[in-house]
Amino acid sequence: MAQRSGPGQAALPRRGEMRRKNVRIAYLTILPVIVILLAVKAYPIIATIYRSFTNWNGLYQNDFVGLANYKEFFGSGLFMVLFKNNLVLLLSVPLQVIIGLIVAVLLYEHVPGWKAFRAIYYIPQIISLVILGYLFKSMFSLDGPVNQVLESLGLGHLAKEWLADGSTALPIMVGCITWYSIGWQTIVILGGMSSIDPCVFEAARLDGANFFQRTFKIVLPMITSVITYCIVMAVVWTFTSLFSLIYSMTGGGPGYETMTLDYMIYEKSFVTGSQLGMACTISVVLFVIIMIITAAEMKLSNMAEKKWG
Amino acid sequence: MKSKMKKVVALLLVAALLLGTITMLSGCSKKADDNTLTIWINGKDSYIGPSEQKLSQEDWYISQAIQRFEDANPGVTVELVVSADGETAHQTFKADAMAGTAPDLANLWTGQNIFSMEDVILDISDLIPEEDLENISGWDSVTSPATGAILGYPTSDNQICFFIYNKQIISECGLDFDNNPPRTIDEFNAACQTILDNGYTPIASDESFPWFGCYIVNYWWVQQSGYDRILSDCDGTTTFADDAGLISALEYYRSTIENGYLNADAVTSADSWNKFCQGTVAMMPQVSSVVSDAEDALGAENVGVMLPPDFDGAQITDQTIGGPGQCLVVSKDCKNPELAVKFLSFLNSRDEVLRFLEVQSKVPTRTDITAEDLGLAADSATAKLFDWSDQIVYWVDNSLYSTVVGDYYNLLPLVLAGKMTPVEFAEDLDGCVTAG
Repeated sequence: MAQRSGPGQAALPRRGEMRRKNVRIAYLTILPVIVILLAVKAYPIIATIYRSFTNWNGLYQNDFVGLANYKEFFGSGLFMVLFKNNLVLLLSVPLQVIIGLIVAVLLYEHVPGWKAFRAIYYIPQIISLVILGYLFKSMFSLDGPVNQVLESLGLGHLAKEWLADGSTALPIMVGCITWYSIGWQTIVILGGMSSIDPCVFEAARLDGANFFQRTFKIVLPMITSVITYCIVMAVVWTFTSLFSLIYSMTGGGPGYETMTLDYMIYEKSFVTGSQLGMACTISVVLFVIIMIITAAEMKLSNMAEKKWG
Repeated sequence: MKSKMKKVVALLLVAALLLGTITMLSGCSKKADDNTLTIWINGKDSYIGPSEQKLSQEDWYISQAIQRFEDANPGVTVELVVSADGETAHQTFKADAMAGTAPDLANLWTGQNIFSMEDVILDISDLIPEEDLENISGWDSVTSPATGAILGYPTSDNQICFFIYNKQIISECGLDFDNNPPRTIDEFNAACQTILDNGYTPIASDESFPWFGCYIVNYWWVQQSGYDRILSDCDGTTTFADDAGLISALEYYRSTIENGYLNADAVTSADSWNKFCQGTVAMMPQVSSVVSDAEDALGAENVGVMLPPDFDGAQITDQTIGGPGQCLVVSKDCKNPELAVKFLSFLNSRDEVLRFLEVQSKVPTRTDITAEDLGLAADSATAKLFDWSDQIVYWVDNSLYSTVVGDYYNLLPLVLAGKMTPVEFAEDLDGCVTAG
């Protein structure tokens, strides 16, 4: 019941006024953050979309060219080459999530030496991707340790210039990314597993569930949202953050055999005569691809959660 | 008490924010002084040599030259800003120019790199003293072909391309490149085969970025096709696929790896220069700025240089690729262009260039400095480079249009690897011209 102010009583604001005041304060409170987000996130995105329809060269050449950049990018066949490379590198995502899950369950169950293993598995994560790239480049060079080991095992005929061919360089990159990311996946999954009641594990063990049954039939369904997060982050990271690794390992070559969409944004911007309009076009394409894949993953995850959860 | 503390902390934060903003804004408006020049110099392979990077900034040649200029011009200040790398400097310069905060002077690359930035670089044609135009070479590298505007001063050094060789290995193989260098492709092949038969790698190069391609193969291209043909290929008047000089040069490029003359891992290797300095390979395509490093590693008596061999019937012979790869430009934001050009003229004066050459062994763009002026032995590698300074054809890759240069750099290693034929490569470049 609404209070009414009578004679001699201090006038109290009515509920509606209070609500409006609270709403005003709430908006004012978040206003600075909204302004900052609009300035540093929304403006660059809108500007990039606009520039993708221009022949911007980084300076004053900024003519509207309609869909010409998109037609050129998709028509030249370059998109398919780069996208195919991105898809191959995405193979690291299931590998890193599955291995991360297995390692996380092993650590959760306190296998002997689990504390040391927890640190060891995380070590690659703290190495710079540039260093990692050079490390793998040396390992797989013609005179590198991998070929030397093959030769010492009498398998010299298998020795080759691994990074000179996309068909071998890309799988090596997949291995490198997987090795690098297992630690992060393990830590995140371990965090998610902390919400599982230990009694569930105990009961499963008493019922005779083996390690893989416990991992894939108990843990996996109970942390679907964490796994979704791991997959989405790994996919986005694979699409947008491999530049330094590729730069140091192969430079995107030979040709475009190991180049990805995000690497091509750099190429068009800074290497091939400042085709920044085209670089914006590729950025928009990459943005759309990530949005579609992420949305699909979320949808699948919701379906899985409904089914199991 | 706690809430009072919170208020104090909040006030301090706001004050720090305001102070930061004011400092930033005052920094932006600092350029107003007409007697202050700001100059960006690349941190490596520029006016700052490899040996200087180990010294403190005041001991660098460029810092001391600035000091001498300031002493000679009381009231003038030159502020030196060191850019981490040349590639980034171009983008940063553009961004600053768009924002109206570009430095007065910047160290950029010549050719298409600056021609594409004509909107923000000042045409200094009318400000350059006649004496400089006469005594400095390399003006073509900074003169816009479209407008004829001179967009900067070439830096004091010519980069000249050549084969650097290990005299000891060459001698062991029974060859004498000092007195009888291979001058035709057939002679060159015979020499490489002899070196190979003696158990050495004849040529080493890291071609994930096609250095051999840019230093030597481009010379074989331009010597057969001529510059006009290359430019007409770029603008689509003619086609790369029909350019016999390009196809012939690329076929030979590919043959070097097929015949075992070039290191087998050239497409991915990154240690060719180390191998040369360790004395395990006979030759390497290189540029003048590395000669002193090679002499330090192998001893001056073991380092030789030779011009690339010539194709039979070529239009251009006994020359090589080169020219000033870098320049100093004046931005359109510069408040005092006369002073900026005066400083550039000072840096390129005979006295200053002689001082510069005491620090870095390079071939100067000044034509009135000779090897004798520097006391170089007549048979030394650097003295030979002096002799070749008037035998250079300007960098072909710096002249390629932006529409084709990306594929040119990226796909050339595929030709070397045998994954793309020279004709397919040329057709791809034609595709870039059509799309561009």
